[in-house]
Amino acid sequence: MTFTSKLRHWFTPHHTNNFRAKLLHNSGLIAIIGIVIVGNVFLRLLDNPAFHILGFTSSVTIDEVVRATNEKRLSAGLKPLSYSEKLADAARRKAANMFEENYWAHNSPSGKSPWGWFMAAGYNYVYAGENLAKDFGNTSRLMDAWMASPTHRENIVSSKYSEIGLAVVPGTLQGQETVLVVQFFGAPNGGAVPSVATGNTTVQAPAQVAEVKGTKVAELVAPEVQIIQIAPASSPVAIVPAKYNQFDLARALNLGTTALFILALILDLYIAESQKLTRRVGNNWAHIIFINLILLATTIVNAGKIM
Amino acid sequence: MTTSRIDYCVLAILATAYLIFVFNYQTVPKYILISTIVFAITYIIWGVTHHLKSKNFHARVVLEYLLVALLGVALVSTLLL
Repeated sequence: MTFTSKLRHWFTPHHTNNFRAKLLHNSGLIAIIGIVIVGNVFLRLLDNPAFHILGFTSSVTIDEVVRATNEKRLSAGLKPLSYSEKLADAARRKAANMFEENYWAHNSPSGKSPWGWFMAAGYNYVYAGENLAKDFGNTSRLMDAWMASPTHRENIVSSKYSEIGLAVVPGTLQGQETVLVVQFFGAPNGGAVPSVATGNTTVQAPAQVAEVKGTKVAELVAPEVQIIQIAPASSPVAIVPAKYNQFDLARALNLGTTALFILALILDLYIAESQKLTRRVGNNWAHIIFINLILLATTIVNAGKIM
Repeated sequence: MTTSRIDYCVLAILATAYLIFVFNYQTVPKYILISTIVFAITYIIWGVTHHLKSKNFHARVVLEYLLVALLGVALVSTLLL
């Protein structure tokens, strides 16, 4: 069988494939699903820190996040936030603690709340807020995700805050290479009654106690800080020196495999209709619509997670 | 309106509902996965109904819809999980 006849066999209806592109036979479909699943498992294995072949790359920068945040605020008719080095220090302490205690949450497993990091950095606040993110490849997708979440959006476009501090720190969290983004908001004032909010909670607190939606959760005591690795304060870029991004490769694999399937559907449909073939098979138009919608959904899916 | 057109209208409504849901809950992976599974199941039901009405139903066709739906779920779940 020559290469051309193999292509014809797999992509077009022909007497060699019972007048249905072989790729659209149930066996062909099983092969496509197999390629998608096995390929993704293989990519996950390569992404494992033990192999260290793939890794996570990110172009998220502090400057871009600050600029994008202020653009959103200006669009909402609010004043831009000024960059606070104390808040940035607090954010770096929080990021370092997340790597150290290996957690992805607002509060650490040892009970440290986000607000303790404000105090540890010497930032006395009237209002405070926190947005977290990880695994985002670029700033645009990160901002889109935060803006799509009502609670995170509320922090970004809140008139209560006047200052912002950020940490964008690469590292290994829960066994996976990632880039953590800690975004702290604040309104400074020494000794006033503090009020704090995270991406998921709104907190109103008397001087030494924080409450989450009316429930007392933690005392605002500065935690002991042990910093493993802190990026320089002015560091604008956090890029893990990885070779490839597993998520992008997985997306490319899925897209490529599906493109072949869609090509077979289109060729099969066109040739079957032009030759007026009568077959008892699935509806190619419906398959094309279904798979294209799924592909559209996968473009919306983010590798990143927000908290 | 022919039966076939009605079927395509139903598919278009299902597809639009799915896209709106995914767009609105793009920050919650669990919801995206659940909505994809629901969309895949409704697609299989749509396929069976469509072929029953068109009088060209066959068990092999059901398996084809099942596999296409499974491919859809695999494409989304491999990116989310």
